[in-house]
Amino acid sequence: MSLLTVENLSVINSSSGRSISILKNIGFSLNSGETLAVIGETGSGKSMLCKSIIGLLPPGFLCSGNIHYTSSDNTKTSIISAEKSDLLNIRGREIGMVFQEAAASLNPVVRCGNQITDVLSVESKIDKNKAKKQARKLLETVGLSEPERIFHAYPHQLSGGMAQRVALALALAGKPQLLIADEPSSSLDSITKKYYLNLLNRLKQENNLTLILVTHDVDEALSFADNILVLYAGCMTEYGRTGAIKKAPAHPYTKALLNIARALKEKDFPTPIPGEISSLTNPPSGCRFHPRCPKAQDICRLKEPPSIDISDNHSVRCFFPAETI
Amino acid sequence: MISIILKRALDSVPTIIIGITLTFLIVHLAPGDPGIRFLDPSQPTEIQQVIQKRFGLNEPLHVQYWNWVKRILFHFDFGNSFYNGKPSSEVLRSALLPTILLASCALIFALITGILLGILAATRSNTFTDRTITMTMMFFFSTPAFWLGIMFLGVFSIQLGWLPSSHLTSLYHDQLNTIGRFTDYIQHLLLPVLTLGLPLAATFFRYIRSGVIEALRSDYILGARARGIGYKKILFQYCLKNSLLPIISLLGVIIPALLSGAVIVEVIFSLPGMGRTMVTAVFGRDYPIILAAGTLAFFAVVAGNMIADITYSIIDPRIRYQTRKNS
Repeated sequence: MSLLTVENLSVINSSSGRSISILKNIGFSLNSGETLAVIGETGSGKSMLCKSIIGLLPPGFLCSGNIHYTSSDNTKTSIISAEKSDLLNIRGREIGMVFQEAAASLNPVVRCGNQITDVLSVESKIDKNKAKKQARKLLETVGLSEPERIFHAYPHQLSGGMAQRVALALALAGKPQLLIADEPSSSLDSITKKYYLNLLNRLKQENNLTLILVTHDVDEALSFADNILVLYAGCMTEYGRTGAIKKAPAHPYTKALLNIARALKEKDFPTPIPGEISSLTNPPSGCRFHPRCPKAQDICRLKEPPSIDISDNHSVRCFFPAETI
Repeated sequence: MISIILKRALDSVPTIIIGITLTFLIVHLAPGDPGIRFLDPSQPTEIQQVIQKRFGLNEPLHVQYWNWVKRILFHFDFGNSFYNGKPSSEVLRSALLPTILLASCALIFALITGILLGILAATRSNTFTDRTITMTMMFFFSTPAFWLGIMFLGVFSIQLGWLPSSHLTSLYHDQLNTIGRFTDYIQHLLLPVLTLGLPLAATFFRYIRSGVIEALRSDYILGARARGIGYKKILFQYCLKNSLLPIISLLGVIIPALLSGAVIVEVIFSLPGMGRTMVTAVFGRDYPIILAAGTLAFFAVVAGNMIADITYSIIDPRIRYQTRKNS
């Protein structure tokens, strides 16, 4: 059953007076219990995609297209056109989110435990002691060995890994179906990162969560996700089952990312993608990847590439997908 | 916490000593002599010397200073007023009451108005409501108290005749019942409180508005919204608590200044408060009163800052943590 369907999602930032296209024609669907990894370089619009899904785009950002979410009681909600009160019911309780900067996403002047009980008491008028007990249990669930101390601690008293787990506990407090983890491990050291990803995987299995994992780490995406969505400068370049993308990446950008990941895994020096990611304020014409693409031809500079279905559940936006080059 | 309070109290001892010494020196080195006020300058110098001896002004400055310090330390005696002979403590006590009444009313009014309007403007930032409130507040922020006070007097007391123009109570105050007395106080206090409170409210407003706007854009508010926390809770608990921090620092400076007397407001509305007492004492070179009021003001500044620091550390745990680490 499709839990989340995104169709032709485009986001425009008009806060500075001119329209800047942040996301363009994004489309995918996510089934219940599956994991979608969103990969791409910094500035490709990954975080904006997450914020669009949870309905928290900054003021001045306009959304078009459709984001359909199926709640646990089977009611369908269009996130883009939903009323504020409907969104309030969905956030936290249906869709949870862990932010990139976990420590910054915690209120600096409120104890961690109280922040969790605040979330627990949103849904129902829960008894204070019961809420505290639940909060401690949640802290234990996310692998914190001293839940009592963490409950009374302020965010600045936590290490990066602890803050990340507290943020996860907060995201899970409302028992959501869908969890969006926006680069949850980017600021963690390699050991903590591995531990955190294992924890995320365990919690996903235990709570039957559907997961959107935003990451820079292609290897992490390949080993963790059922589907992969590749973003480049706000455009969807490739989307498909992990196995298919791993086996035969169709877009030159995906191919380059996979090559880098492979080289890093083999402890080899990776060949970087030449140039820098296109600016969103002044994007190149045609395919946004063409200035860096080794296979670019005239048509790539002139026209935007169409979405080509390579196989069932595998699509690419390129004039010359891998198999035809 | 107790160790922090004690440490701060000890730290402030040199500040108080330097402060009151400077006050003593400035007062005594300023031109003018209290003795001259009582005498015709044509009177023989012998008589002037008698007067000076009576007040202890004939001694060298360091002896006068030491005598003054000794009296304070061992007898807690600030001396008697040169003019009416009343003890300084009694003069100040009677002046402090109207000042506390005026200052606390103005402060409460300013805090409520500033915070509420600040939140309202921040949540409607860059709209007509925000611009209207901000412009009005900027008007009060940049208006001098003497002009505002005179305008209020001109409009509400003289033109419309709605409110009394001076003093804290009416002449027939003692004959009124409890409700009547309360109303009488309010009528007399309304204009001075507005004159003193509106510019203060504008100051608080500026801090709260920018604080709430900044907080609303912060990651922790985005995080709270993503967790489904309601808007009211986000605004009044999450944003406000963080936005109040600069106000607390500000109160550490404002409260002592208010307690030392709102000179202009007290003079305009003829209120017998600290400010007016201080001004009268300075013009008359009434050394004991000036020095007692100056010492009180120094204590108020030090205490105000200390209370602000402690409150700050209670509200913001990061400061408490830092202070503990440093000490």
